[in-house]
Amino acid sequence: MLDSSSAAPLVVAGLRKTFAIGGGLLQPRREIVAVNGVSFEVAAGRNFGIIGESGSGKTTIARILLGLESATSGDVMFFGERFARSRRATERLAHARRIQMVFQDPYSSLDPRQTIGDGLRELLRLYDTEHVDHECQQLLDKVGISRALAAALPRRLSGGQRQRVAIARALAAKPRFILLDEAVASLDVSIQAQILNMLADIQKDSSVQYILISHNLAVVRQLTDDCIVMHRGAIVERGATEDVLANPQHEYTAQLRNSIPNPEKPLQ
Amino acid sequence: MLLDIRNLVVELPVGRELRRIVADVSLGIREGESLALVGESGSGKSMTTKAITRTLPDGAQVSGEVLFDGKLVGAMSKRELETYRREQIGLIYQDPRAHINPVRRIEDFLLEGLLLFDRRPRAELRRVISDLLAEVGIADPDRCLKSYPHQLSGGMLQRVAIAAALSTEPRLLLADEPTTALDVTTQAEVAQLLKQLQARRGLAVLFITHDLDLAAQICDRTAVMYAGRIVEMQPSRTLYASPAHPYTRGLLQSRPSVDRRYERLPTLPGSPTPAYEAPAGCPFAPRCADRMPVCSTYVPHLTRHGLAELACHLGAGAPGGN
Repeated sequence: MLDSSSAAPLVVAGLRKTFAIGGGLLQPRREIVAVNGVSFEVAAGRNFGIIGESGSGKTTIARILLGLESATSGDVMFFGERFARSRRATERLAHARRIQMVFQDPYSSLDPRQTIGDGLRELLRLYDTEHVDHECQQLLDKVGISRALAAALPRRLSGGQRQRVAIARALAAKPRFILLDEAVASLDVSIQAQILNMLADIQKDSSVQYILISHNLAVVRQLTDDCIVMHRGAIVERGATEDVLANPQHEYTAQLRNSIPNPEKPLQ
Repeated sequence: MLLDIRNLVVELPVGRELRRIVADVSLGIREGESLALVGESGSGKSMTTKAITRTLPDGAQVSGEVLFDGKLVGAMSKRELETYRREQIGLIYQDPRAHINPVRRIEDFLLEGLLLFDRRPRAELRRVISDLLAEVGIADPDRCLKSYPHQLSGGMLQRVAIAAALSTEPRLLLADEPTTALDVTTQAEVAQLLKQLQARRGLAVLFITHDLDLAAQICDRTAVMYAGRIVEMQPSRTLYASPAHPYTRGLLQSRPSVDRRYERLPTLPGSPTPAYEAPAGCPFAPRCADRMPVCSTYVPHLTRHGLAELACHLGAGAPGGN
């Protein structure tokens, strides 16, 4: 057993996930390798970026980290403890305190019939929070949601406000990690900047670490310290975000970098 | 002017009230010219394009004029309108999967529109669309024609959609966020393709986007919309280098950069306002760091300052302006 005090907060080792498709009458059974031997560590106090396009395997990794999916083989260790997916309520609750998730589209993750405040209080009770009302107010203040909005239904909120609520709901579990899956991708530019600053502020007074899944290199640069670049289920490059983006070593990373629209080089 | 929009106002019915979405838009596109219409959600950019094709939702109230090649679109008969939409304008959407019939082969999708009015034999039309697919960068057109949409990647499918838009040889391409749903590397390829097609075919392009960088890379000129109005219009290069409107400056400054990590990103306070919620005076005033007393009383109108057109009371004296 590893000493949990010295182990990295998150270690992923030799992760592999395959999906079987077909196998019907007419189609031969085939295997798709979504994640192929992926290993990385998230060091204490560092934010981690997973860069990739569709089909890179980044969302499969997210689902395994969250316990929504089991790996075909390989290990996931949170704070030195091997994580295995479980159906037991106590285990799932314990995992909720390790890692929470914020999705790209917050519209679908909120109950349309429940006010923002009620929904958050319900979550806080689930996590056995003392002083639920006080905690609820603190969380809403932290993400910049007014009392008037707390009494509103989700449909009255703008995209940016819903994403603030989704972040408050993730924070309710006091998790060690928040996994942001393209969480600012569909926001307006002026709102995206506000949310990125807010995420940085939240980190100033808590020890939460972010794992950001994104194809947007500028957002990864702004929020993360270390990153991996994934392509077709495998890691093609890793390192400090600054170095990887400033001086890409792998052809694919360079291609991603060159795909960012550059107004100083108009297309011919 | 190929397309000339004058003082367009669009209001949509929501329940019993009419909500103003486009407050006052005037713009022109010449033959072969490309213009980017940039704005955040609720800015009215999509409704402006629907006014061009006269495909606004039922009950929409429109004032102002949309002229195509000197003809008033609002006054076209049903028949003229059909010809105008089919032969003069090509449409490209954000999500090609939502606009291509999933149960029909690409060949049928591309031919069905053409067969309605093009009298050439099917075999010849098939050659035409096969050539078009090659022109939009599809390596094996014959294989593509036999495919179903689900067999193609998002980027391939957007190329097919572009081929479909070009098949009637339109003079104006209306592209509404055509690269937003695509992967980064594919986005760059499709952007490059649009630029090439525009140059090669002498197409006029109206490119709707929220991405100022992409706009500047593809289009000759860029118009920035806020709360249903154009607040600034400039050649893309100068808009990017010296934005004159405080909103444009704020947008450009608040983008994160791949080259540096900010201690804090500069931000615009508040959130974008749709036209029907805009306050009196300049709609941007509540979020503007440079606002003056006059800004909350009078709406600034788009006026020319050198190469730029600007709707701001700071005028050419705006900090950082031309």
